[in-house]
Amino acid sequence: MTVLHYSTDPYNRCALYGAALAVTGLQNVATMVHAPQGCAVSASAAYSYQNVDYTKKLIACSKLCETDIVTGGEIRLSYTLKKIARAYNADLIAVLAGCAPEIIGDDILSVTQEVEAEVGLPILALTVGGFRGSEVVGIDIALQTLVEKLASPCERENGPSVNVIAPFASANPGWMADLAWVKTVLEELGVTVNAVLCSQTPVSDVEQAGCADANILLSHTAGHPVCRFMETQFDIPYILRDIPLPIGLHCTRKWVEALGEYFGKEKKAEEIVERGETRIVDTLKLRFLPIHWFHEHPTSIVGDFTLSIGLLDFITRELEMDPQLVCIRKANQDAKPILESVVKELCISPKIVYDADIATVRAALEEVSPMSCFGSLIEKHLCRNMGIKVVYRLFNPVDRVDYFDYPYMGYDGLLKILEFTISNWRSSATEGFR
Amino acid sequence: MDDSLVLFRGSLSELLEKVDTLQLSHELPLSHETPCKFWTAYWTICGIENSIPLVHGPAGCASSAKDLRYFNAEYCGCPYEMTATTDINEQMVIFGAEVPLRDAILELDSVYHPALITVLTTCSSGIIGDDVDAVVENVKDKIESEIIVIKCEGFAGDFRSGYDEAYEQLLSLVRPTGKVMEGYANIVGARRGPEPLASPGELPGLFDIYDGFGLKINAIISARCTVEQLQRAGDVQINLSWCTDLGVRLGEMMEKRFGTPFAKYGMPYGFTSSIDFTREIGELLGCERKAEKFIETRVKEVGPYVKDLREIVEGKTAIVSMGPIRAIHISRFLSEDLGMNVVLHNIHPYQIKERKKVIQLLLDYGVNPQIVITRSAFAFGEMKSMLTEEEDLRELVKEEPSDVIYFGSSYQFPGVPLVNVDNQESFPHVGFLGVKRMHGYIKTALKTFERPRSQLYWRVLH
Repeated sequence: MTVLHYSTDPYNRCALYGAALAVTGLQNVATMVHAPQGCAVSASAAYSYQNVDYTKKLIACSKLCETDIVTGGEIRLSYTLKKIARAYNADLIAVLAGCAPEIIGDDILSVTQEVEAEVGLPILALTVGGFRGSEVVGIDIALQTLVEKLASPCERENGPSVNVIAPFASANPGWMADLAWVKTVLEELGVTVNAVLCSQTPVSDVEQAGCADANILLSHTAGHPVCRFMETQFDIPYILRDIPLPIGLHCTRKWVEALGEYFGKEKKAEEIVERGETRIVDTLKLRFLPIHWFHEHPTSIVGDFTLSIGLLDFITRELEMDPQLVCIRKANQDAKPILESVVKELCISPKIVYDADIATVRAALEEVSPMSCFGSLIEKHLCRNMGIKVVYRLFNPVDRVDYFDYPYMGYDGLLKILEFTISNWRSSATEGFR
Repeated sequence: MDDSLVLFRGSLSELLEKVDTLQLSHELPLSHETPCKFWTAYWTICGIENSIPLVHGPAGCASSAKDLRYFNAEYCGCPYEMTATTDINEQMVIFGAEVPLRDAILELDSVYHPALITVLTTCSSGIIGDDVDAVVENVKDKIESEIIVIKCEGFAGDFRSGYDEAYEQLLSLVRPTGKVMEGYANIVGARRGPEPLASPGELPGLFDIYDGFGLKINAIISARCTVEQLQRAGDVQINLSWCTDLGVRLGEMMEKRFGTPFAKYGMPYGFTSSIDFTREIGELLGCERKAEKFIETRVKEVGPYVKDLREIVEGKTAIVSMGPIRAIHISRFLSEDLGMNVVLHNIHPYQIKERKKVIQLLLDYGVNPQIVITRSAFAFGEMKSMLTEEEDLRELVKEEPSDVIYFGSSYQFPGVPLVNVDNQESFPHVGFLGVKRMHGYIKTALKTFERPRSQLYWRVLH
């Protein structure tokens, strides 16, 4: 279902932003945006999403202008790179080339190689003009280029270890807490985290990325290409690829069990599940689960692939809701079978819209007319005039400031989802009374 | 103060000359994040109701800029309205995207029937050479919506030029009937769409004066307004400047095209400016007596506040650090009304270069403050420059023989009374109402300046 065939009202940003998201997850990386100045403002936002101390943001832009478009921007690129190398004491410089230099044919690779030799710093050249696609494309280009440039296959020695890939490719504004929970589970299972691509990751970790025993992708949205690349080039198995991420009771149990099974730690995994589920039950015994609000309540989900699959399972299985519509913002082929298998298993038949833009979501919500929606600030405003009174704001962009990262994955994540769901329902009800 | 720290010291007119003759570099540091021409063009038109901006470029340009439409919906009481994009991809870059653009316009018109479609070009569509004007010309008769094109490729000019380009094109929507709407005015020079409901900024200070003439506002160009209001904009009795910088360009264009009298002086900070501002409107409306009567009332009301302040701050030094045009305007209040010695800190030569016309206008009004530019204006690295700026400020304060009051944002803390002009609740600063507000804020600053800087904030920043 697509309302507009010749234009779109997009949720996602461009490849340049996606690449910025990936590289700003490296420690002490300087970002050089080779483009007109506006693109640097976009790229700069990625630092916030990666939780980088804003006083330590290392970014500069070649600020291409009309003359550069006519005569070429290579001199400016070289000049800016050298200036950055001198001014910032960075471990790596990432060049993000936008639409303009790509179209005019600046030879980004040659210039960066030349400057790299001169300044003695690794420079990652990423040609990520916005016309190459959405931020998902940019994330994939950046992760793969990073691994190709810095990592190499190596011997695996001390016990089981994994790389955790693309944890930031998620619409959870507090995704770092998801990563933290996954790390604690791995630790309990005796599995070492070899490298995270990328979240506060030292450049040296990327160089060691070829030494892991397995890759775990923490996103259904992006990161598949680099996992496949490492599987073929470095012989690192890409595990848990066919099951939903650990969101909600059932999916968390399945995910932890699968992880335990892969590493031969079934008993430990069982303990984690048992402890987590008991905690949930105990908490809800104290705080109450108003199931009567949710039972057979016609609802909808408008979100990213990473969070929506597990959420769909959770609200159907545990909250007894009736999901009538699922709109996925940017859908890649790898994750579609996972969603479809969940739908089949739950014996439900919601309308599913892949690659939904805002115009399509508006039309789908109007058509299906659910009573509520799991979405973002955008859906809050879309629903306002449709008689859909409750929007549970879980996904980015949200209408609140959070100083604490909170997970949606795992057991604390389940409670957080419930907290938001119930609180948003209450505040909508209060607005209704007014 | 160490001479090597000071890059320029002199009057505004001297700075203008130095920038004009290229004796001072007007390049911003490459680490300084500035929006591009496309963004500012988008901001200018994003508050027009029932309009669809159609970004002819990759989807990323649209999705980055349209955060402002979320803001409008969240804080300004506007419904969420779409921003469409042709989503130019690799294939379109090679083969051109004129046909997709045409189809997009036709489709948006037939599906949504907006009052206005604004086609905004981007780097990609500009470089590949799509003839956007021709496409629009060809579909114009086939659609019911109004349609305009704004050429705002990110590389095609400084960010300021996006406002000008957008204003210029918005004027093509104006349909003057030749019949003047007596008692109606436009406010010109709005630049970021609608004002937040909770904090309407300077507008209440301006409305106070407009109300004195019984003026009704047809459109704020271009905040939240409708296409119908824009179409009628050529029939008003007078155009009133809001931001002197952006307002002057638009007001003069409208004066030339539609013969609408234009009150040029915007941002009337202080007593004298507010009086001049009111008189200028009165003269243009032929209501001089009404103006004088209104001024008389306000002088009676506000005069004591000015007198009170002058007694306290006369002879002291004001160091002002904020946007250039605002700083220049506020300098008039501080020097003429309050008798202070004013120094504007770090008006970047770049800002002068881009605003030459309006700076000349202010010089013509006799406003010519002293300016000091220190090394921090050119420091590479955003946060580093903030720290250097504070160090430079402290040096400036030290060398002043008289007591200093700092007017700027509380991001800086030079250890003297600090009038925090960024405090949202302190607005309006302009007009007679603004004088009262500034009175309160200056008095507070004088009373509380010995309180130390927040250790928490200091540790966060430095």
